[in-house]
Amino acid sequence: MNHTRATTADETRPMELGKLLLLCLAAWAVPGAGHLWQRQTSKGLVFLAILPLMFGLGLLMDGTLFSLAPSAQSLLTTGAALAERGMGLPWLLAALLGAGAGDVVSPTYEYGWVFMVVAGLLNCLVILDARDIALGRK
Amino acid sequence: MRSHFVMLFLFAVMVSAVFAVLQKDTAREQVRLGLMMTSAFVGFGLVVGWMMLAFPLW
Repeated sequence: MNHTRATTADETRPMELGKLLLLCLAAWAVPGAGHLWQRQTSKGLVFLAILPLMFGLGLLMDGTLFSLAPSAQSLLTTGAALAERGMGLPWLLAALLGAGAGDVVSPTYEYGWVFMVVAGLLNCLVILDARDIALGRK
Repeated sequence: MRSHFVMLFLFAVMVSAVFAVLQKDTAREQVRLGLMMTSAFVGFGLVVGWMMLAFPLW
């Protein structure tokens, strides 16, 4: 009985700062990793399946990886560039492989970048959710 | 893949699934919210699409 109480208290104890930062970094790099880390397996797997798929579909639809040059671009483009970087490793891989050149005359170009930007923004929400769970707020 | 409806539907399903999983804890509630949000996305998209017919192209 005492063991059960100790385990419950341990599970609800907020995570220490260093571990929390590491969790957020993992959750940014691999969508769903923050939930998988905290044994929310089904939620983590859903995020791990859907978010990279959404980002990949955006690339297939001729979406573009926006470059980040705030002084030379509009505020909205800067926002879109930052949002895409919310995807973590999939974004990094696409950038390293030279994908996401974008084809502005493609009929699906607008859909493509919207898929990619929204995937990045959703991953930011997923990171915040993982953080809230770690802090015992959910 | 060139169908606008298919792309709208894919977008609706994926965004709804992530929101539903974020907001609800049981599978039943997640499916229910996901279906409602997908229907709302697609329905709203179709309504707005039809409304845009009233506006000329520039």
